[in-house]
Amino acid sequence: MAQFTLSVDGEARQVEAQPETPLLYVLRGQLGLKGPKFGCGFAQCGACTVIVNGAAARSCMLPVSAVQDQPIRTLDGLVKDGKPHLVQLAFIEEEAAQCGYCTNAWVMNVVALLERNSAPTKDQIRQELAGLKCRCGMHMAILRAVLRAAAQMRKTAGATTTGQA
Amino acid sequence: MSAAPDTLDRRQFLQGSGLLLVAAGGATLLRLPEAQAQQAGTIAAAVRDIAPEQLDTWITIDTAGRVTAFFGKMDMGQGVDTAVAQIVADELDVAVDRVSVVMGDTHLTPNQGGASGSSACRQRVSAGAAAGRTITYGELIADGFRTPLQWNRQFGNGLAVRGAAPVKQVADYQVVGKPVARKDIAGKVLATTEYCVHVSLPGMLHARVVRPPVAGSVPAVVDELHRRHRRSAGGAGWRLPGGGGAR
Ligand code: FES
Ligand code: FES
Repeated sequence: MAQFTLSVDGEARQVEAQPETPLLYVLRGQLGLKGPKFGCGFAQCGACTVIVNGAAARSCMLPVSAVQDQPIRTLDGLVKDGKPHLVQLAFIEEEAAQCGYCTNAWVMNVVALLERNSAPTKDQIRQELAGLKCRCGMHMAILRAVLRAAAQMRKTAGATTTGQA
Repeated sequence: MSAAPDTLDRRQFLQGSGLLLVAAGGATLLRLPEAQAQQAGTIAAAVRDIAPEQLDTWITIDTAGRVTAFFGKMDMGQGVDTAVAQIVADELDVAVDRVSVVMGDTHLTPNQGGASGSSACRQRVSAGAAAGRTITYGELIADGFRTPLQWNRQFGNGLAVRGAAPVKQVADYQVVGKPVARKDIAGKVLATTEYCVHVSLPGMLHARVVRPPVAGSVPAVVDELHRRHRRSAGGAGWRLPGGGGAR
């Protein structure tokens, strides 16, 4: 066991783990986060996605020792001061979830995408999200939610760059 | 808290003062005497007695007119809670946003089994199919509240009270069959919904399925470190068909 200091949603958090322990286990098991989920544990579904250094990453295959001192953002931390992120609002408005187990995957990947590219085409969105799995088949609603979120974020871009509602 | 079923129409029912109770097993309507109703006014806060033969096990209406339906099934995101709220709103002639649905918690509702096979909102499909006609969505989900009777028996629940109040005709539905915003989405998107995987008990271990990278592989080695789930890549090294190895 070793001590690690992680930066999670803007806060320094101390955790104790084997260096190769997946970040996901630490986020859920030790820090009690509910956003990232265990889906496959094999980097094949995206349910465990967090944003590390601005890029979507699958925390089920990411050793905790590899992300020390790198800013980690999670679905749990997207709500700021009681305000959901515009991507979250768009998912709610489009009802882009059924069981919601995969929702973390889509929301976090979309946040990372829109921070890079505020006006993605449908094709770019499809390409970006192609590796994510939703067994409930919410894909078309999700696509609508991404387009809605992108439009909303562009509209408010003058006021804020954080995507906060 | 049970009383003899009493027949009254919906308007009378809703105009009556105090707490009113309805059975979810049919169109049974029941009105409690005022004194009893006041006593029951704290029902939401109290520990619930969920004897299936008691009508307040299924529906309560508080003095402010808020309706709570207790539904003993758990869905997987199909939106059964919203559909049940629509059915209740229509049967009671109240706005759908006054109805909340509690389900999937056996501290609060009887166990009515899973929601598979559309069993939470079904019944006329087979009847309609037999008659060779199309079933509307409204008809389909309106039966959700009658179905529990059979399910209750199947699960050993005793509710078998049948009321005399007429069941609303499909043509009279105002809420059923119309789009209503899903009640369950926000919690899922904001990471506040509880999933089974959030349950954590002292000393609890997690098991996981480990799959080989290609079909036909056989486990070559299972070491202690892997067995204890410290690694993400799986609990075993694999011997691949054709002689290669993978970990
Ligand atoms: S749980 Fe990490 S990709 Fe599936
Ligand atoms: S909403 Fe159920 S898996 Fe995507």
